Amino acid sequence: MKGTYLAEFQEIVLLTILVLGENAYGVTIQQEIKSRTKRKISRGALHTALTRLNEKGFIRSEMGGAEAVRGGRRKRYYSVTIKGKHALWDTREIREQLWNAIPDFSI
Amino acid sequence: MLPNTKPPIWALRFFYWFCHPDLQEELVGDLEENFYYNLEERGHAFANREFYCEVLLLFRPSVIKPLRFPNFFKISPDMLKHYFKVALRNLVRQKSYSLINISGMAIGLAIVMLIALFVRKELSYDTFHEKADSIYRLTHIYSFVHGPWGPTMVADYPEVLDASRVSWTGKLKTRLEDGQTFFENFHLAEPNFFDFFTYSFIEGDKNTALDQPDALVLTESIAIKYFGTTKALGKTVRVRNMAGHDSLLLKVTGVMEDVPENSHVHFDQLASFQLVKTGSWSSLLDDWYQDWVITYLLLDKNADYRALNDKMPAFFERHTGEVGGRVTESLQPLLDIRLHSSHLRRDVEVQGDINHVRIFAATAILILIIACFNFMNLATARAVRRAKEVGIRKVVGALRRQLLWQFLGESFLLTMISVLLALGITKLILPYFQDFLAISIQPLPGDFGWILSSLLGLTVVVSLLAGGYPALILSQFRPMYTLKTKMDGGKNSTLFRKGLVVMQFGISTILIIGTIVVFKQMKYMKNKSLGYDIEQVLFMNYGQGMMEDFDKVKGALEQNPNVLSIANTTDIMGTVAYMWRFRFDGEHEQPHGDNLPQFMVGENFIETLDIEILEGRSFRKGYAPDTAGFILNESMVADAIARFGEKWRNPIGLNLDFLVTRDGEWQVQKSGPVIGVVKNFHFRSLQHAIQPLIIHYQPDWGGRIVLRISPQDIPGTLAFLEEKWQEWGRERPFHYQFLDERFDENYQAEENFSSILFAFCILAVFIACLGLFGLASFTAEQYVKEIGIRKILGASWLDITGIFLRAFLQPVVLAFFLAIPIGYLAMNKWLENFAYRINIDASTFVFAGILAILIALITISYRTLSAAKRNPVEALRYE
Repeated sequence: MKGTYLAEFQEIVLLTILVLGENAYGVTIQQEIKSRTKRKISRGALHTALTRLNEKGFIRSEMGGAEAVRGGRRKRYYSVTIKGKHALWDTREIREQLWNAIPDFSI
Repeated sequence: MLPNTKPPIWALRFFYWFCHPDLQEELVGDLEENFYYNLEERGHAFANREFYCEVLLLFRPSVIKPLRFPNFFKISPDMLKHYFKVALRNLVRQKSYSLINISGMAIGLAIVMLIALFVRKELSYDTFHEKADSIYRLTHIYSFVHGPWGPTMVADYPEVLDASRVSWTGKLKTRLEDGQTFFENFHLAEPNFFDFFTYSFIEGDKNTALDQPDALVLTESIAIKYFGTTKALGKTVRVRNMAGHDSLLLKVTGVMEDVPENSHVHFDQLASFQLVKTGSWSSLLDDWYQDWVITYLLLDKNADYRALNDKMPAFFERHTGEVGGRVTESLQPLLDIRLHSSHLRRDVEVQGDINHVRIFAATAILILIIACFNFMNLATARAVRRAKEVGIRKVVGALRRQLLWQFLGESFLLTMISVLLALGITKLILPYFQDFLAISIQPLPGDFGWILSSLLGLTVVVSLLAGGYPALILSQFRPMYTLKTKMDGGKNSTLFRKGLVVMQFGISTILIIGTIVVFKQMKYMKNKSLGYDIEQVLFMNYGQGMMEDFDKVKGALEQNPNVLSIANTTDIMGTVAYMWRFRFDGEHEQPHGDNLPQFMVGENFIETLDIEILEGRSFRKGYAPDTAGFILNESMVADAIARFGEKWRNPIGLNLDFLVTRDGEWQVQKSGPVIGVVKNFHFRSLQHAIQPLIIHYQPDWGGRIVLRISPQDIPGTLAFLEEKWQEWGRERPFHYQFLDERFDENYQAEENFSSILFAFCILAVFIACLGLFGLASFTAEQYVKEIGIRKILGASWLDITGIFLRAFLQPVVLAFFLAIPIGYLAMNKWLENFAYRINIDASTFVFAGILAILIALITISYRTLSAAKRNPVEALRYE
């Protein structure tokens, strides 16, 4: 399953994109991650993650929605592909299996 | 409704600079959105800071635009591929032209490489010693000097740190424990020898190896020769007659790597210098007058050896009491020895000559120029072919700069192929070249980096030099003209081409003149009368005991009717005439007489060699006044008249004293009258004028036997000699040498030089001819139509040929006239090296000129004739 491995940060980004639904682009992803996970990420780090996810085929993107605040520039909207969803699901399964296999977990 | 503040300009500019164009829209949009958000939420300062941070953090590989090819060339990588394809296609399409060009260039480059190897080798002599910059050799007319000089320098001057002396004993008989005997070279060195010179030891410790008086250090080859292995420590070797000791037992204390080729002195075995102090040679150590030992000095890093040289007269006055005479004593830097020792009369080995190195280097450059000119010529001529291509490229949008790079690139490709070919040629020819020069110039393993980088440099330089001009011409073509009419390059390029031919043939003619002059000079030197009869004279080194044995030896040899004449002597022609002290009839500024060249000869010498006696007589055996008498040559008499007065016009009967030093003291070894005057003869090679010479009877210092034999049955006579030699039971093996051979050895350097010059000359001419041939072929094609029309209008093939020849021979003839003055001057300079030389006369130049023209004619004749004879119908058929 090489190449379909899902890194931790990339997983977060994917989930965030799903959370945002139709409105997932650079700024919104950044803000959502920041508010939910308290992690402040730079646009650059996000760009790298998005590039990797795109290379792996987990997300796709398209341009749309120009706005004045952006100086008339369009945004790039991201959405998760089926492959991406599969990868998320597999990751979740593995986690749950591991959790269930723990004999006695107490905090 | 945007606030008036904008995102920081410089950050934005920076971002636009590095960001990939496809990503710019979304990223800048996001950045600005965030900026305005922050501006509202947290204020201006915060927003700015965040913006900067974001921009910097976006400076990463996935965002940065791909590296663009330096814009200077205005070429993208794709175009390079295209140019490469086109270049290759052109090469193949114009096969004959490419072939001529490449082979001419390759030959030229091969020569340059060979010479470069040679020059590098010569310049690298002795550089492997760590302290090379601080080591100096003491010289005094010879490269051997007197014993006490070195150590006294150390005592007197603080900047002289140390002195190391080396004595050369020549070949001595050695015997090993197991009874094997050898006859090998020995040198005696002091314990500090390895402090001075850097050698590596295989066995033993270099710091202590020469400490003991019975020490012996062997080189690898000798150790293997003696013992079959380098593990020879502790083994013993018995030597006879070394340094005044009858027989010595030496113990091997070290085995070192062989002395590398690029050293000014080569030795096989080193014994301890201590032996000199304990043997019968010990008196020489304090003798300030006899020159016999090689001395090296180690100077302080800051010392100036020239300043020391200036102090020498005072130094010698201090130690010997002699005033103002010693101007020939001087220090010579170690690194100068190889190439700058030609002023010394005797050296431990024959060294090289800086002039040869310079001349070869100059020749290499000349040949390179010829090859480059070739390239230029052919390329500009062929430029016409590519005119249409250039025109179309320009129409489609090529910039001149791009075309320039295209054609330079093609020349680079051609040059690279030539370089590779040249490497191959060099590899092939190297063995023959080395035999020619009697040296080895294999590149050392450490050279690889140097070779690679210099080859690259060479390729670049040559391709620029040769291809630059054609590239400029080609890229200049105007599309309109190229596509409309047929270009011929116009008047200017023809002139340029002719100019190049003039240069090529000019250089070639100079080389031809040079070769002819050198040949003539060598021939002159070989055939000139020497003042004595050198034919069928040979000599053998008898060694010690010759005086006692001579009657017996003479008696035995006379039995053979082919032995015409026998003599004994110390000195002989072709070897150094050592200088000793002579007093002329008591009149001298110097108390111990003047240093003058002299020959010590023995019985029958003058007769055997047929030297002409002008006045008086030769030595008669057993007649006491004779054996104590002196014979002068004409130069000596003239010198004496000039210095001591008119009475020396009749020198017979006037008295001379011959002085030597014994135990450091001057003594009159011999005193007697002048008994004869001989006609001047050449006792040194013809490079030197005949110096004054004093001949006197003293055969026992050297022990040579001289024989004149008849030209019949020489092998038989030699066999007879060998048989007798064995009978006499001499220690050294039988060895003889013919006098003319020995004499010719002095010309070895010039012989080599002449051979090589000849070879280069041929090659230069060949390359120039290649160029001329290419040019002729090309012109013939170009003017096909014109020739066709002329023939139709009535010209015969003779007329056409005439036109061609006139056009091509013009530059050659011009070249010839230009070459005459240069050749004359250059060869005159070279001939200054010889005291006896030919005069360069007109016949040389005429011959050279005729040769050059003949060669040019032959080269172009084929093409010219075939063009002239062509059927005009065929010529005009194609349009």
